[in-house]
Amino acid sequence: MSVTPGNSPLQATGELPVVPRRRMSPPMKGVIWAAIGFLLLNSIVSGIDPDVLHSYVNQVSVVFGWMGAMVGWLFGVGGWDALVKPAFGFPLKWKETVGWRRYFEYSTDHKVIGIQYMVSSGLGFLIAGIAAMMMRLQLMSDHMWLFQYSKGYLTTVGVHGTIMMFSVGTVFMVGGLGNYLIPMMVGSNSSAFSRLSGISVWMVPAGIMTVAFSPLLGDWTTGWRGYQPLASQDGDGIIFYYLGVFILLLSSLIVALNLVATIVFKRAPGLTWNRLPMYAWGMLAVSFLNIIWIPEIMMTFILALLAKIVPLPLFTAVGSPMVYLQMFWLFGHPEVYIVVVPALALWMEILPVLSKKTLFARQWGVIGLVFVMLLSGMVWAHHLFPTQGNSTILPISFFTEMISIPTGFAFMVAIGTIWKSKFTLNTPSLLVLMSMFNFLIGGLTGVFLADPMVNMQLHDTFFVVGHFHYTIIGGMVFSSFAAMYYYLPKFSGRTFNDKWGQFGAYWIFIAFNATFFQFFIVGLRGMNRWVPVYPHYLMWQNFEISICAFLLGFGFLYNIGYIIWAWVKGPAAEENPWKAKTLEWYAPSPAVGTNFETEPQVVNGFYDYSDGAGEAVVFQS
Amino acid sequence: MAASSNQSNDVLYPMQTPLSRADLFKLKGGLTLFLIGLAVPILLLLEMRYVVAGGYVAPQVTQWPAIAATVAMLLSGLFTVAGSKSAKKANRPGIVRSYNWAILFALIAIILIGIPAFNGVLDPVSHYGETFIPTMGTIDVYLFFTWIGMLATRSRVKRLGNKIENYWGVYATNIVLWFMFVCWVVTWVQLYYL
Repeated sequence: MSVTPGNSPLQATGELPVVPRRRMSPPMKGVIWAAIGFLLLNSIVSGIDPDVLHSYVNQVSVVFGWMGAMVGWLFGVGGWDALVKPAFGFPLKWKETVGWRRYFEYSTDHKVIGIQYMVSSGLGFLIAGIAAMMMRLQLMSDHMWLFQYSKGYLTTVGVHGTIMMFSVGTVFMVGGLGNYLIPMMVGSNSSAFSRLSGISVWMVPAGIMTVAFSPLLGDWTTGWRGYQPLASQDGDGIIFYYLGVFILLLSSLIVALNLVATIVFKRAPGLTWNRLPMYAWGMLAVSFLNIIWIPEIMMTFILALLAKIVPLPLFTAVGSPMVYLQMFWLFGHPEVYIVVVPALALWMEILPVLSKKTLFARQWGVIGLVFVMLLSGMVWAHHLFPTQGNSTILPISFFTEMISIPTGFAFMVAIGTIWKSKFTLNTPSLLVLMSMFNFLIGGLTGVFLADPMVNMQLHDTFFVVGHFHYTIIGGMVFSSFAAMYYYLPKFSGRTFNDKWGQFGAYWIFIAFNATFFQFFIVGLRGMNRWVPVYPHYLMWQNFEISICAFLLGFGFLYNIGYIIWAWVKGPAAEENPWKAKTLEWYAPSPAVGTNFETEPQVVNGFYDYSDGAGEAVVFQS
Repeated sequence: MAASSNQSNDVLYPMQTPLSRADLFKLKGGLTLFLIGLAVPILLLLEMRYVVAGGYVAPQVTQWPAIAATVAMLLSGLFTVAGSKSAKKANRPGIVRSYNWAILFALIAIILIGIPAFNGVLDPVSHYGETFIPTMGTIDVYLFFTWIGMLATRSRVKRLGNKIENYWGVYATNIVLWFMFVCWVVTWVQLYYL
């Protein structure tokens, strides 16, 4: 397959790119350079450590060694040749390759980068999913049987939550779909900072591996939050938690900078704010959240790391274990909206197309996304209600309930759009409806939990676990599958058999609700979080929850497998099978090469399906 | 900016392509977002100091390196401004000369900021010390990466010579250095006097 990526340095000549001479695969080179980087920095720091009794790999040296490994990895996969050397004015030897190999090396093509993000995130989903299955296996019995010690179970919970939140929830719909779609959606051939973006994607597999292998250094019991001062009592695995999450967050921060700059500065002529696609609005809102809160939590993690390895008493002094809680959840709750807002935006993107009806109350949809973004920074302390006084609880409770209003705007827009429309019930629209149902349950139970009295009773029970899984999996993961089916023709030029797609959608919907609705019930019956053992009377319900969870796991595998199959072997798709009007559908399908040979000009809104509505886009010759 | 190519298929660098006003607007906007992101950890650390240590300032904190670092950063900034002025006239030797001095003074500032943080005068496990050291360390890390950026800019100007079509890299480095200067001054005043 001959491919000229959209912003390849070679496209301007109109010649096909030259396949470079065989060279070591960049990921392999990255691994070797990472090993060298680790050995070098670990040895230097270990060597200058004045304590003669320390081991060769110790807490401080491993941190520096890891930093060396990250630099080596990023340089090895292409950063050295394509980024660092040119930055210093040396000749650029690197050339973007063709075919499948381009997905395994540095690239500046936003579509390649988007797929790299999605695949890395998918890898994280599988690893974290295996961890979830191990947790459910343990919980099939009321006593320890799979794990020898409770710390092993808690570490598995932590690995599951950390990888799911920081490499799937934060990454798939923003780094993956965002990178792939947004430049096309705004009528551009490249993203704003494509070189930076090309290197940030390689931070994701490095971060996932760092967290996934962290238990080798010792168990950590803090969950995905890395709580200090608890973490200071944990094994050294917590060090790799902080480092792994740090690099994952750095990647997401670069994505945010890139997406905001792309949306603000690279829009096609005529693409006013009033015409901006809903998914782009969602990406803009999420990226602003990322730009504000990710640096905050990155700094917090550095402080927590110092508290572990120096050790500084940062979070144990003057009654300040609460300080870390506040600093974490200041980011932690906006994080939930970083995960969910793309899903809300996607509903509003897909539904008018599959309803063939003008998007209902578009402005309210945009206002909803923006106000969710603004209010998300004012609700964090509901995670800490049992530690707070009334003066804090009441305003935070108020804002938590308030945030359901702009969230509800997304439902209003979605339902208003499909109301009395010629609705096409196919796999993507079905998954969107399922996502709306699931998120409604998650949202309503969230309002329930925002009530201080209820919260005091249900805090740290499985009711809360059910609530956030309904929002994250129910909202974001279901919407991600909807997006994968919807955009499959764009990604691959192929489509899927709708019956098999719907079969997969019903499978995960039934298994998901069978699993997580019971979390509410088992939580109300007294099942606590963070414990691998529990009272005997809860065992049979936990047993069958686990069976449902395994069915859900296999359902996700089925859908992933089917999407991969359709991507490779599915029947050929039309250029624009959904008859959508947004700009990405004016680019070739499959979307390889230049997005737009001539510059598009937006002349109408994208979601106008009224009689006599004109074309949204014209191309200047 | 993606790289582009000329007729002979040489790959061009960002500094080798002319920039339109729209391109410059985009780059300035992107840099502003980046700097906003960079400011957040500094704000967090400044707030953290009051949470953990209140308004206390340790009497033994070493004053002279902070004052000297401020002067060194100011001088470095003045030389990057001179570099930007040279860039407007496409005076490449002038840019390199200015950056030689700017790089030297920035390096001196890095060392000077490191002195009070790591000279052992402050107890790192005291309330003041445990916030002072991470804050100064963060400023120093920021400044170190700025310094690498200055080295890269100087090297690019020197190596690309008359192939340069735009000087955004020079202007951006100047902006980042002055941003660092503001961050440092705020941190210095807050940690030493407020």
